Amino acid sequence: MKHTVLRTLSAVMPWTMVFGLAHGQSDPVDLPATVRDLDSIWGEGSPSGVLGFDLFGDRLVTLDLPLQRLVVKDGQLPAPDGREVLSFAVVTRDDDLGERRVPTIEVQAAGRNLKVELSPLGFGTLTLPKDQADRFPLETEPGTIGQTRTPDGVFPILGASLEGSLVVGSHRFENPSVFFSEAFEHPSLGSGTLEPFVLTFDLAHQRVRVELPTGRANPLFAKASALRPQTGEGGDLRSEFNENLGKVRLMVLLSPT
Amino acid sequence: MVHDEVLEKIDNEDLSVFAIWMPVLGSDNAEAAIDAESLLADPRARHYWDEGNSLGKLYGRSLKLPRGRQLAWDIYFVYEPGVRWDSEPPPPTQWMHQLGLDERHLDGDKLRESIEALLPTAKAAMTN
Repeated sequence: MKHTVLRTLSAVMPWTMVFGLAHGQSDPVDLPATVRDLDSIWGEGSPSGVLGFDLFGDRLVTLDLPLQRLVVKDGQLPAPDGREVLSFAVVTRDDDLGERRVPTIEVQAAGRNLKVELSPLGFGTLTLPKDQADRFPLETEPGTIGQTRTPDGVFPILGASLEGSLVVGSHRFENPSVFFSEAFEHPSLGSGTLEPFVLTFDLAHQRVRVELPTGRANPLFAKASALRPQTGEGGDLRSEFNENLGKVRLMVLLSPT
Repeated sequence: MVHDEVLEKIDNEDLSVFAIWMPVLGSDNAEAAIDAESLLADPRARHYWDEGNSLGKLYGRSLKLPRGRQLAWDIYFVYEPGVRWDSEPPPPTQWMHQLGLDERHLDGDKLRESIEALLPTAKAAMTN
C-alpha cells in the first residue's frame, strides 16, 4: 500500500492544500501547474504553492487537524451512514484564488438543513453570508467582533451564539458561535468546528469521514499543561496549579501590550 | 486594575496568582510578555507565556464568551480551594472579562470580593 505522510501542512483552503515547501525539499515531479502571485493574495511570506486535491487522484486523503498531518494512501471509505461517513458534493467557486472546486456537506443548524463548505483552517465555527442572519435563531444580538479585508474592501464581521445546535453527522455542538459578514459569500465550517477532527476524503466516491481521534491527548490541553514559567523557577502550569490546591487561585489571561 | 484593586488590597498568602501572557495583538511577543510582568508584580504571582494561545482556545471553547468570541483573553478566573486541574483545565468558580459589556464585565471590587469570600475556605481546605 502506498502511504505518504507530509508533516509540513501549514494551512488548508477549501479544496486546495497549501504547503510551505522549501526549495529542494521534495522530489521533482512532472505536474501541470498554473502560476499565481500568492504574495499579492496572502501577503509576504505566503506558502510557495498550492496543491489541489486532484493531485491525489482516487486515493484517500486524510487531514489530521489536531496533529497537523496530511496522510495519503490507497483505499475506499464505506458507504455514507450520515454519522461518521458523509457524502460531499463539489461546487465550483471563482474568487481571488481563481476557479476552484470546493467540497460541501449538509449539516443542521438550529434544525435547518444547510449546505456548508468545509474550510478546516478557515475562520470561525460557522460563517454565514450576512443576509442569512435572519434565517437562524440567535441567543444574542450579533455584535461586531472584527473585520476582514477582501479585494472588494474591508467588511465587518458580526458574531453571535446560535440558539440551538449545529449537527455535523453524529457530532453535535450546542449553541455554537456563528459569524456573519458581507465578505462571506457561502456558508462555511471553519477551524472552530473542525479543529479537533480527523477528516478523510474519498475523492473517487465523494465521501468524507468526520471522526474524533480517540486515545490521544488533546494537543491544546497538552500545550496548556506544559506551559513553563517565563522567568524564574517553577514547574509546569498544571503542576503549579495543583500544588496550590488548598489556596484560592486567580488566573488571568492577558495580552502583554 | 487587577494589581491595584485586587492584589494590593488582599494581603493574604492563601491566594496564588497565575498570569498567562498570550499573543493576541500584533505587538505581542515573548519579550513584551517579560516586560509585562511588572504590570502584575506580586510575590504570589507566576508568569507564563502561551505562544500558541492554547489555554485561551481551550477556555474559548468551554465558556460562552461575549459576541461569539472563540479566544478567551483579557479574562480573569477565580478557582476555589480544592479545584484540581485533571484531564482538562477546570471550569472557574467565578470569572470576569473585558470582552464586552455584560454582567461578567470586569469589576475590580467584585473580583476582589469574590476572592475574599473564598479565602476562609482556603484555611479549611489546607487543614483537611
